[in-house]
Amino acid sequence: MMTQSQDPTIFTEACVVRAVGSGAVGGLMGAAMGLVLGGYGSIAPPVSMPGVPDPPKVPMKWQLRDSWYSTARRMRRWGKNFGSVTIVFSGVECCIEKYRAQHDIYNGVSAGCITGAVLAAGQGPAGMCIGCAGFAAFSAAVESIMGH
Amino acid sequence: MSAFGLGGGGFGGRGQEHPQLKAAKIQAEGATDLYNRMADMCFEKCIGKYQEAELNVGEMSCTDRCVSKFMESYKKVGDKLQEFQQMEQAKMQQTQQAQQMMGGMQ
Repeated sequence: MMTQSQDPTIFTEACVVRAVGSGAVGGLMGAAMGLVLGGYGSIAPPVSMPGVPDPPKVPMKWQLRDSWYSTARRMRRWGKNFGSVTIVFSGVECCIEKYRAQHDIYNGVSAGCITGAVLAAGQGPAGMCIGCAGFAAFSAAVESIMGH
Repeated sequence: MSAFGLGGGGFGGRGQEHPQLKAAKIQAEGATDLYNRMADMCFEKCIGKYQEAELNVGEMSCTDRCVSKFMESYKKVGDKLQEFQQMEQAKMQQTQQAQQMMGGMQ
């Protein structure tokens, strides 16, 4: 049984399209993680403690609406962070691989270094070096796990 | 090739092929040989791993560059060969003229 190979389309060839596509998927993943991992402090009901007067009773519908709004805000924030990181990483990796004309692990490592430096841009050169090293190591670990 | 010649001789009574047909056949063979050689070379140079069936971006750009360089170098070799042949022809003409002059003087 032979695997069907597809002709190169614009989604596999053009770096901009690939970056935007990966960024969209990354944004969705970030939203999912924000939904699951965000922490429940803002949506937990208030705990009644001795000596403190009870807070006024709020109708259940309003409580649900407030917790949904805070969750949505968190999902949007996580999604934007993940999505922007993924767009930058994917675009830079695609451009580096296209330039080098080789498919190995160093594309991901270099793209990780640049992305880490860009993310840590507000912390001066030392912070950018650390960000570069950290993200490059993370990217190298992920790529070697995924089998390169 | 010999089968074609024999078939032509048997059918139409011609022992020789039409020269234009022969030239077209040679050209077609040359083009096919060029394509086969280029495809083999670029595949060997550019495609390393077989973990997935689709070409990735690096392999795509490598193949593009390989084809472009091969065609450019092929054209350059052809131009140089033409230059060389012209030089050889000019030299032969010069020696012929010199011999004629020597013959005329004697």
